[in-house]
Parts: sequence; C-alpha cells; structure tokens
Amino acid sequence: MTQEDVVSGTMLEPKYKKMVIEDDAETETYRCVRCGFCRFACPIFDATQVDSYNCRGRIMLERALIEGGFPIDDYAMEILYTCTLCKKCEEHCPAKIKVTDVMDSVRVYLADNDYTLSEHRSIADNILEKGNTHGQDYPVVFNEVFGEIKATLPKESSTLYYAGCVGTIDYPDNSLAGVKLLKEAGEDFTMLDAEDCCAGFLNWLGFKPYFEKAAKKNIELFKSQGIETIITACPMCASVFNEDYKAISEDAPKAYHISEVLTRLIDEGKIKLTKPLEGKVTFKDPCHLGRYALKYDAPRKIIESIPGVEFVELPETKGDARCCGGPIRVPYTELRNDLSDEIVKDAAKLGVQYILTTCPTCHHSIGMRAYRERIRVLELPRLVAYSAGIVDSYR
Amino acid sequence: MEKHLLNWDGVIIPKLKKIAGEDNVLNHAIDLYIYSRDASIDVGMPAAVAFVNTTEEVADIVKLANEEGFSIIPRGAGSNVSGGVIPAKPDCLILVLARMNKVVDFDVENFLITVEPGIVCLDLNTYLEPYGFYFPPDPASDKTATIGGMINNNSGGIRALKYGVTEEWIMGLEVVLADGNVINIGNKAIKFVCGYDLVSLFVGSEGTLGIITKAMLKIQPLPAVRLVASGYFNSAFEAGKCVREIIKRGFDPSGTEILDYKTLKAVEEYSGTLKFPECGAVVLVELDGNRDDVEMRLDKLEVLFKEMGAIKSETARDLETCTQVWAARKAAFPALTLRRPTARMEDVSVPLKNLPAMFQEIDRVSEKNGIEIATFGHAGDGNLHPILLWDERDPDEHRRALQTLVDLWHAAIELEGTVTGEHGIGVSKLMMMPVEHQPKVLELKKKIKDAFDPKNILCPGHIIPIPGQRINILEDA
Repeated sequence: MTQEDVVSGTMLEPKYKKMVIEDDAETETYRCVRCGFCRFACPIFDATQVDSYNCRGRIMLERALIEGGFPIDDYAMEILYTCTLCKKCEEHCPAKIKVTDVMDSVRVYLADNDYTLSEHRSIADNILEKGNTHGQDYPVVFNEVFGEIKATLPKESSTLYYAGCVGTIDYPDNSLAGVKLLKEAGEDFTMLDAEDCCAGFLNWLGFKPYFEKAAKKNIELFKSQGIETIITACPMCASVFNEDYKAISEDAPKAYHISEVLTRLIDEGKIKLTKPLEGKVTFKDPCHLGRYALKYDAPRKIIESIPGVEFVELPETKGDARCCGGPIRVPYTELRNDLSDEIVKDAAKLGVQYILTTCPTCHHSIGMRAYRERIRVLELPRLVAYSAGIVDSYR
Repeated sequence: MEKHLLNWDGVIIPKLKKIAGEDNVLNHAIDLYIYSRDASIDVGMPAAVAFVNTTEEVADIVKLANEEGFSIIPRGAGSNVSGGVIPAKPDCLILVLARMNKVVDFDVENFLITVEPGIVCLDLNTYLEPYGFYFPPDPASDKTATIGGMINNNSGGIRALKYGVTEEWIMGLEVVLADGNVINIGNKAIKFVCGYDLVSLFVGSEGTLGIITKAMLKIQPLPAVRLVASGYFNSAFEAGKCVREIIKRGFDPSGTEILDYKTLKAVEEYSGTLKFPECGAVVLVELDGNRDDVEMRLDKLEVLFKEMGAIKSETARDLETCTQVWAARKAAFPALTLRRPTARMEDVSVPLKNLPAMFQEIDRVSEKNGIEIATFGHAGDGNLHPILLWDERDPDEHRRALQTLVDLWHAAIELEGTVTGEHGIGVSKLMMMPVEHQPKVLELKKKIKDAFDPKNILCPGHIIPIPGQRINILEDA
C-alpha cells in the first residue's frame, strides 16, 4: 500500500477523467466513515442486499469518481441513478452526511457531461416541451379536469391551487376533490388557466440549467398573477416550491400541502366529516411531506377525523417511513416494485383494507402492487371530500 | 497490492456461481472496490464477492478455495474498524454472510436462541423483546453489526462492565472449517468442561480459524428498570478516579461511561439542544434491576459524586430522561466526525488503576503530534475510545495522525493494557502484536492458526502476518 493509496483510500489509479462536484458536497464524501448504519435505512440496499447500492457504497463510488478511479460506465450510472433521494439514510447517518445534497451535485455533473439515460432525457423533454412529466397534451387534460370548476373560481386571488401534473393526469378525481373541498369551505383561491410542471424531476435528475429556466418561468407567472401562497395536493411540488424555487428567488410563493390546509379547515368546522369509511387503514408518509418537510401530524389528524376509521401505524413510519420507489420508476420499474412491495407486505401484516397517502407518486407506485393483497390505496383529498359529502365515491 | 494470479474469470467465478447462484457472485470493478473497505482506514481489493444463504454453500466454497488456491474473508455488515474484512493479499474472495440472518431455534425454556451469523444485533433484540429477553452485548453499532461479526471480534459495549463481552454469551457454534468440514461445538449445559473449550477459541478469532454459520446464544431477562446518573468533574483524570470508586464500593453498575470536555462540546453542537455544565469530563452511570433497589443505589451514588469532588450531579429516573442521557453518549462519535474530514476511533484498554494515567497519556501524544483527540469510552472496564481527528488528504497531517496512533498503542501497553479492547487486530494493528506479546506467545498463536488452517485460506494476513506483508503503518507515511 502506498501513501497515495492510504490518502485516497481507493487503491485505484487516478487514470480517468475526474468528476468535479461542489466543494461542500465533495467534503461530505470524505466525512463518511463507512460505518454502514445506512444499511439499516436505505430502501435500495434493503431490496438488493448489495453494498454498492447502499448509501455507503454510493459515497465510496462518488469519492472514487472524484479521484478519477473509475470511468462513468453504465453500472456506475445505475448505482447513482437508483438512489430515490428519499433521505431515510440521513435519518440514520451518525455523521449527518447530507447525502441528497451530494447526490444532487453528482447528478448535475453527470447531466452536464452527458452521462444521462435516454428515459431521463425523455422526461426532461416532456417537462420542457409539454409542461408535464408524462408527455401528454397537458393544457387539454388540465382543462378537461378543471375547466368546469375553474369557471366558478375567482379570476384573481393571492392564493393558488396548484394541481401538479402527476396528480392531474393519473388521479384527476383526487386533484379535483382538493379544489372542491377548498371551494366548499369558502377559501379564497384561484387556479391558473394552464399549469406547467414544477420541474422537480429536472432538478432531481441533474438537469439544473433546464430546471432553473422552468422554475423562473413559473416564478414569473406566479408573480405576474399576484400569487403569494400556493396550495398543492402533491408534496413533491410543495417541496420544490419551498426549497428549490426559494433558492432561486425570494419571490417564490410559500407553498402548503393540502393536508395542512384541510386540517385547519376541519378544525375550524368549515369541513365536516360525517360519512364513515368502515375499515382498518394505515398511512404511508410521503418522503417529501415527511422527511423533506417534517409534516407528520396533519395527515394523521385528518384520518382521525374520519368516522369509522380504525387507524394503525405501519411498522416503519414518520421519519422512518419506507420510500415507495416512485422517483426511480423510470427506468427502474422492477426496483420500484420491490420497494412498494415491502410497504404492501407491512400493510398486509397489519390486516388493513386501505393504505392512505397524500402523494400521487406514492399512490401510483403502491397502488400498482397493493391490489395483489386486496388492499386499496386512497389519497386523502378525495377521501375527505367523500366523508364531507362533496363527492359520491372515494374509489 | 499485487495483481490477482488465479484464473478468476475463466475458472473460479463460474464455479462460484454454480454454488451460490448466478446473481450472488459479483466481480465488477466497482463492486470489488466497494467491498475493498470497511469502517477502518485500511483497504484491500478482493478478486470477487459471493453472497451465501446456507452452510452447505459456505462449505462448498471453502472446498473450492482448497482446490483452486484462493483465500476467503467472511464478512457481515462490514462495520469493522480494524480492517477485519479487508484482503491483505491478492486472490481473496469476500464471502458475505449477511443474508444468513434467520432465527434457527428459540429454546426459551433454556434461555437459549440459535441464530444464523448474519442476523443484526438490534434485529435479534427486537425479536426477543416481546418475550421479555435480550442479548446483553451491546456494541454502539448494534443497528448494523451482525452476530457473526460480534462473535468474530468478541465485541463489547457499554454494558460489558456487568454482563461481560460477547464470549460470555456464546454456548455453541456451527463452524465450517478451513478444509470444508462442518463441526458443531459447545453444549446447551451451562457447566461444560469436556476438554479444550473450542467455542472460546473461535470467539474473537476474527475469521482466521473457521467460518461461523450458526451460533447458540444465551439470553437474559430484561431488567425492570435501567436508570442513569451523571457526575460532572473538573478533569477526565478525576472522573476516572471516581469510576474506580463506584466499582470498588459495590454499586454494580451495568455501564459507566466517560465523555471528556471536547466530546461534550461536540455533542452540544451536534444536538443543538443539549447543554452541559462547564467541566472537564462527565461520568455516566447506568444501574439496572428492580426499581426500589436501583433508586436506593442512585441516591447513594449522588452522595459519592459529591465526595469525589463532582462539580454537579444529576439523576435520570424516568425512561425519557434516561433515553436522552444515553442519546448524548451515542451521539459522541458522530458529533466528533463533524469536526474534521477524518475520524478514527481507537479502543485501547487499560487496568482500572491506570485509567486516569491513560487520559494523561492521550493528552500527551495529542500535544506531541499536533493531532486533536477527543475521548470517551467504557471507563468502568478500562476501555477507552480516543477519537483522532484530522484530514487524511493532507499528507503531513496524515503522517502525524498515524504516528499518534502508534504512540497511543505503546502508551496503553506501557500502562499494562492492550491496543484493542473490543475492535480486534484485523490488518490495522498487526504491527503491535510483537510489542504486546512475547515471541513464544506469537509462536503458539501461529501454531493454533496452522492447526486449523494449514493452507492459510481464511483471512490470511489477519492477526498472524504473512511473509512480505507490510504491517508498519508508519512505513509509507
């Protein structure tokens, strides 16, 4: 072993192009003492049982790439792009390493240097060209879902209901239920004529310049319409507005997840929950509402307000909640399924009929697997609207 | 490290895949690199990584190693801090036993549980808790440390003072020997003196004598309460003296921990909420048993703290406060890692009488080499964790840090102690074996190794050096 081997800690010759990431992120990689506590937390490690897919392994790889020890091949990219950015490792890392910050910086390097996946480029194209992750004709879909109710809302308000593209396209009834609830409760809010995606995926996949361009466009739009507050049913959108938009401009509006608003409206008696949901339910904390925003109480208060519900916690809950794998579903669908399967297994052991959540991505990922255990996945806005007698069905 | 000499791609890997399964053998360069390290500063590249699920697979792979001439390093969670799962030569296979993590038999009437080696310590205790039992050895890494790793390193922990280290809780083992034969050793009977105690020989052998594939463990009923007292002193020296007095006067603590001033300050910064009195060190004492007895001992302990010159003392008599106190102790190492890019935890251990002197030695070597050291540890059993803090990217500071390590080790031996109380030798501390042991003792250890593993298939270069192995950590610095 040479001195350089010890210093670099890799025993690898620095013969490849060195990855360059932000200084703070690079220092974080050196702070990892490889204790392996992240084995306890990382959902991808849990699914693969291979340390290379664990947070410790990823940080070791990142450090080796910084030192030019490896080329960035397909396998390296798979390791780096299969992190779901769920932050669960950060809950357990004794050294409090900012794992997601490092991964963000690494992915910016990867994208800037064309180490991208074609599937990710398609998502980016969809967001940039069509304003949604799915590549659909979003203005048409948006108006089909919200056209009628929008006509009844004020044209101007400082509060915006932002539906979000994933929820609008995949679960329009849930997105619409959110609007109906706010309207029924007498909230003063408006909606846009047409929404563009919050562009969070561009950020998470490292397409930083494109994200900033998309974010600035949205921020300008919000500003021009006098929007100071956003309510959204998508915790990922809320997190993007509050964290990533704010980092770009102080003018970015403050965003609230709809569960926070619904809790207040129920407390104020403006929404009265009367129709029961008979059955045993559990709640899956979305990563972006939980570990990103630390909002654990609001959805639970809502669930407790629904008559008839028997609520049980999942064994891993709140800060320890499992990730559904949704953020990596393209292209790692099987791995996503493995992650969601673990949540379904835990729920099945509890004997629940319903898994409740407040995130369209969790809804989609877990819903794709839960049917095999005869468990239904429900999102809170539609369930609340049902219990309040505003919509006829929660399914 | 030199290049691998055997035909891995053409011969060994296909054979390994036949035994362990196509997806359970890795040899991509990135995987090899990830498995080239543990939580120590050592590094060594394996030729392949195999994941096993059964004793038969382990035995078949060991037989293959005999046929093809490769070496094997068993690995659990890879949380070792002394290079215990690091190849010291080319042509090593990392054999991952972490997936062998099942409970095989729970003999509750005999207070015994038999497990596979990959079960994680915390998971074992989670399994036992509803039955009112626990497995007492409690390494700080219990979230990730596997029972196999704990047995191989004879792990200790906070409660080793009262409950002993891992070896005292191992009743039997199933071991795959270096020739591929499988043996079962030990007995369910509590008293068992039927010839040489091979179980004790395997415990702490760091994988050099055989591969443990099952372990029969003793378990302990959970105590009714565990309460904690804290005594703050002007110096670690005074705190060390108090610890000896606590034991001498029969308080029977389940754990006594010392955190020095630097550690306390780091914990304060790390937590953002904890605030400690200005002091040189704190002694944390855990007492367990039935509530009345523990409360009475706590009262007397407060009096003793005053008598020993404590600036302040506190008692935690409810679970929440006790949990907060231990959270501060558990935050010690992570809090310190925030201070510099590189942190290395040592585990020197000295007789109790020399504990205060060891604190003075730590200060001396820190000052001599200009390397920051913060110290905490299991003071009640004389086992300290000096944490060396530096930036390994700075060659000069790195050299001084390595010199500090060596100076610390020498100091512990001078004080009638050892370089390692609970982490083991691995490849990290080989250079100290001739310092700590007489030549004849080393010769006997080598003979034991040769008797069990004449071809040196298992963990070559661990505990016993191999010819040409560079063991002096200062040589390259």
